Amino acid sequence: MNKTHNQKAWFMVLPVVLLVAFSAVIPLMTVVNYSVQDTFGNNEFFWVGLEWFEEILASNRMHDALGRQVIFTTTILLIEIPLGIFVALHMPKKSGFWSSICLVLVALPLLIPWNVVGTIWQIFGRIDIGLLGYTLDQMGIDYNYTQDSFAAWVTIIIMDVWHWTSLVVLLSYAGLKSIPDAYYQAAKIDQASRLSVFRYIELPKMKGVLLIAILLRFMDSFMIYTEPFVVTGGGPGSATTFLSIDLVKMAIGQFDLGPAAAFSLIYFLVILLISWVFYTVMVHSDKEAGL
Amino acid sequence: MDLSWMGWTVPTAIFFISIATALVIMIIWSIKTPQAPRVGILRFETTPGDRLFISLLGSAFICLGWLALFGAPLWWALLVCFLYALSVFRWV
Amino acid sequence: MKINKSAFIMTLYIIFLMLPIYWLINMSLKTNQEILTTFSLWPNDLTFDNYMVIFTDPSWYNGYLNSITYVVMNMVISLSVALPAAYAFSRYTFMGD
Repeated sequence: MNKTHNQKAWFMVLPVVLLVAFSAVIPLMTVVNYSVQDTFGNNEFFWVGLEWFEEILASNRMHDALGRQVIFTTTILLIEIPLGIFVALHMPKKSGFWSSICLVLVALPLLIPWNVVGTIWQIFGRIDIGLLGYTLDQMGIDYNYTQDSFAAWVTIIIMDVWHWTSLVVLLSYAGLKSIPDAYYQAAKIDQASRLSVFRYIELPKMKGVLLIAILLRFMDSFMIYTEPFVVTGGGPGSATTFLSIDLVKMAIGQFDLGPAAAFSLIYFLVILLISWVFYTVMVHSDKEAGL
Repeated sequence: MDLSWMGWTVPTAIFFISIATALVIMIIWSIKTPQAPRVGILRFETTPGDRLFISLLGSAFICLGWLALFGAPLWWALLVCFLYALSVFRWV
Repeated sequence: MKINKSAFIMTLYIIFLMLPIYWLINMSLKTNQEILTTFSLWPNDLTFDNYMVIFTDPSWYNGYLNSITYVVMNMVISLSVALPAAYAFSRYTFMGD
């Protein structure tokens, strides 16, 4: 696309800039301010410098939450991405009646509001009134997600897989459909096995789409809040307290605004780094694809 | 305009004003000299604005790492950040 | 074997996806009493009372009105502010893009 050089284009960008400045930059500056001060209440602040940051970086509680978050994110990615690709490979390829039905049904869990997902799974997992809980109980498995931290983890992981694998499926399906048929015909002529077809044709062509899926899921699972909060509220004890749940407990539960502000700044920096990597990869893989 | 509800303190004010100044300097610099994106060691194209962003992000992490490892006075960390920013501008 | 491997896998996956939704619909057709006491795969007495309540009780349908107001406002503001900016970014190059 040929772009013309025109400085007056700034006027079109101005409303967005003002809106973002007002709704994002000002609260951000306020948070930075809170993170370096302490208060005795009554809106009186006094300077404590970087004490909050030191305390947060050294606190066991944050290390635990970070560890749980990392374990959670890795497990989720390891399950969702291969499962999503696997299902996408088996979706009906000819656009017809069955493929539309499959697409709609697969996309259905994605449309449900997040705390409704949490509520559904909360009831689903109960032994007395939930299908899952009742079935597991009948099979003799000891399952109680409010008291057993392993069961709580399994419930949250399965809930997240249920909710979000369809996103990976849809993205991979779009990537797969864009592979021209000539590749498959060439592979048939060479009598390539199904596995080689996957490794040498489909995986490389889906690279861009897969990268988007992986980065999206990574960011989303790093920021996950409502779903585990509704189902377990932090888990038996603090077994499922992930980073964002811990942050909200600190900020609103204990009203420790100083450490919470420091924590949220660190969190923001991590997410900013990941988003920037995401953005750079997308922009530059677009350029390589010849757009 | 009363800004005291944001809890301003002198150091944070200096921090934000210096970031704004850096942005203004970049704008003036880009008006004065022609700038084209160039490929750096990370193998993707960057404009000077990109490099400023990378250096700011990196120095935030360097300061955090310094705090985690060494504790309070951050002046040496600022020196490391400055050297990192110079190397980003030169090589990325 | 006429069973198509793809179809089998897709059916399994879609059953997995639909289970909680089926349970949700199941619960929506039961009375409160029945949900909390008995466990049944299909409601013993089918009732549409729950649907009647959410459509007539003010505390429920105010939620819809609030949601719709919020979404419409969000959409209008986002579109009206982002479209010119997107147009500018795609058609023009300017300093600081």
